[in-house]
Amino acid sequence: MTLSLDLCLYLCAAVFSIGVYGVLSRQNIIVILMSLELMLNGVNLAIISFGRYFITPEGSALSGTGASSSQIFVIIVLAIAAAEAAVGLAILLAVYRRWRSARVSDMRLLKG
Amino acid sequence: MDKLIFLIPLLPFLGFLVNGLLGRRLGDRAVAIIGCASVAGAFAISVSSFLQVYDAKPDTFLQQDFGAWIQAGDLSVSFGLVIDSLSGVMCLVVTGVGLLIHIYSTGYMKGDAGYYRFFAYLNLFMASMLVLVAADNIVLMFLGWEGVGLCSYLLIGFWYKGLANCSAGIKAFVVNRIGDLGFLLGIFAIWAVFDSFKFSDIVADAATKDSSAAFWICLLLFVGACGKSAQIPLYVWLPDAMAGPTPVSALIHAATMVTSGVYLLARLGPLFDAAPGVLTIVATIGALTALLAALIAFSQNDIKKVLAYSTVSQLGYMFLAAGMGAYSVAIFHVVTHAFFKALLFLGAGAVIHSLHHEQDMRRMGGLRRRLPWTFALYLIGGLALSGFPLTAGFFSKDEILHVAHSGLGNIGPRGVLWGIGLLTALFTAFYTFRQIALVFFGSYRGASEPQASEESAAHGLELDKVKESPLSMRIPLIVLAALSLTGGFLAIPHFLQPGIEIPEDGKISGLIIGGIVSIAGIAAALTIYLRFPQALKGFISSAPGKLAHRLSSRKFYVDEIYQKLIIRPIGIMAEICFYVVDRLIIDILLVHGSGFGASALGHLLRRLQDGRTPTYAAWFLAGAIVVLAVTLWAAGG
Repeated sequence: MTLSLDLCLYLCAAVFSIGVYGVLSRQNIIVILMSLELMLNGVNLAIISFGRYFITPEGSALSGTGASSSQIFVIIVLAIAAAEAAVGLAILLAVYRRWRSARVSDMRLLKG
Repeated sequence: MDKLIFLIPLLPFLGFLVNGLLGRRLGDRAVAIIGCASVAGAFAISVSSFLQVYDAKPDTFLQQDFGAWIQAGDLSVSFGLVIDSLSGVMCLVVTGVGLLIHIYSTGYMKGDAGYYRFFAYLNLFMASMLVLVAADNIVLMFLGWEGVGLCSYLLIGFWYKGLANCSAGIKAFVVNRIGDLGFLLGIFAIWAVFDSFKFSDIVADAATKDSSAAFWICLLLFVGACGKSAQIPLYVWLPDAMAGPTPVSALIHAATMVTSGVYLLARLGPLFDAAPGVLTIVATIGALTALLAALIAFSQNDIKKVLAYSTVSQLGYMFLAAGMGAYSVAIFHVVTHAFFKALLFLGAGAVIHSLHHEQDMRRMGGLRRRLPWTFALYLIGGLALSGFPLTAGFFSKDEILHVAHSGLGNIGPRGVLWGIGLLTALFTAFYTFRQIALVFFGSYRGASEPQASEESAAHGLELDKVKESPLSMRIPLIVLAALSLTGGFLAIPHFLQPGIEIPEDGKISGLIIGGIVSIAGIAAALTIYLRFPQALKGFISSAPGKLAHRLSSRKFYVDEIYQKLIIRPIGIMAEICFYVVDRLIIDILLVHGSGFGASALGHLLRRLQDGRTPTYAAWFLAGAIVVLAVTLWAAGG
């Protein structure tokens, strides 16, 4: 049994949307960072799925890219996500030392 | 000498520049010398130019062209001056009478804080008037036309601390604007029809053009002439213009500027001949203005107002003549009128000067013993204005009446207008000698009577303190009196219009009738005002007399009618424009509205930046969804 592209994309959308919901609704910065990872992984899943369904081992009929191009994309995204998590956690630490809090609603200095 | 005619307007203009820019430092004496000398120079050049034109055979002229003044596409206006017989005569009158009035002003304005300003304005006026007269095209004439209007405004409001003076100046300016609009439209129409602004071209082509074109051009130009020369319905500014210093009234509002409308008609005579319909209008308006102004002059108490209305009336005579096609006769009256009306105004100025700025005739009387010179000279002016036999006004006025009576060329006799003119001549003699009786005869009323008019400056001056005016004011009067006595013997009509055929029939009887009418008016006025003043008072207190007196003294309510019919509606329109357009649309909606709108939008948008990161993220998401939706819609659609 093979998964259809549609089912894969529904899964991606679900993962991405859960991430979005988490980013918007959570107060704790750590949870927000975790939700961000969910969003990124939702996108990664979508890239992989498209790669699986549209790119044959001989290369893409559409764009002529290589068979492994979608995997390369995902690797790049993962690397950037790791870097982002490192920077985000560093900022979180600095913020926590300053305010003794990790809640986004406590950080409201940037407003018009 | 023909290369020097540019100096005629230029010398007074230089006088204006020097007096206007440096006058305060130069001192009064130097200002007076510069002011008079520049006009004297212009007069000398005018005389020699005129003699050159006069000696030569007819239709010669001196001309000087200084190249293009305005150049745009096909349109080209040259800065050219021309002295022919017509403009030569006018230059002589303007510079000659102007020079005398400048000399008079050195005495009259002595000690005034604005001495240098006065002479600067007078010189600017002379320069503008001479440009107007000597211009060889109608656009340059318009430059002078507007220049004299400006000087008139400046000099009416010369004593700018009085509100009445300033509003009189504004009134003159605004009423003249109405006329100038007509003049300007006439100039446009001339360009459209003739493709040229030069008087010589217009006059040469006048007969070949469509008669309806000539009609409209002439009508528009006549509107301009009505404004400048104070004819019905635009005469209302001239009596108020007497707020200016008296030499100004003499120079600008009697002798020169107000006659420029007549000059315009004379300059374009052949064009007006091609529009007989307009000539009828001109003659009718002239006769009616003459009569109306004479009726108003009956009951005026201000010494200058009487003269002002008589000026309007005499200008009406000039337009009556012009409307008969007898332009040279009109100019003849312009010349003699300049002599005797300047004399009368300057004489009135001498009286006012001697009485320390008292102008109300009810506070004068019996001045002939204290002011014998002024009295004698004023009497000569009054006789000339009344058309007393052998004075200047006698010949010129009777020439006009004669032309109206017997017709000229294609224009038939106009009996009704002649009748109005003759009646006006009777009235003129009457009100002139009413004035002389009130001012110089009877007993002096200045000291005893309580303040007759609120605005009069004098407070009961004793008769034995009334002194004759200085020599600098008397000499111009003597010269003008001599000209008023002899000016009628100049054969100006035949000089200006060699081809004019004034019928000889009835000329002598016309002169006799005119003389009788004049003497009758004089005798009636002197008898009534000196012998039977009680009868006059009785007449005024009777019902019809009261009505007549009120109509005359309130100037037939023309100012009130204009106020109600024109000024009020325009004022209401201005208020509507002010409150609706300016206040509501521009101020509230556009100016305040744009500011308020921007700040309201800012208040709305600042909610977006509440500092809460999830909100930013939510907006970010919303934006992303919108972009996605648009992209999909665009791709799918």
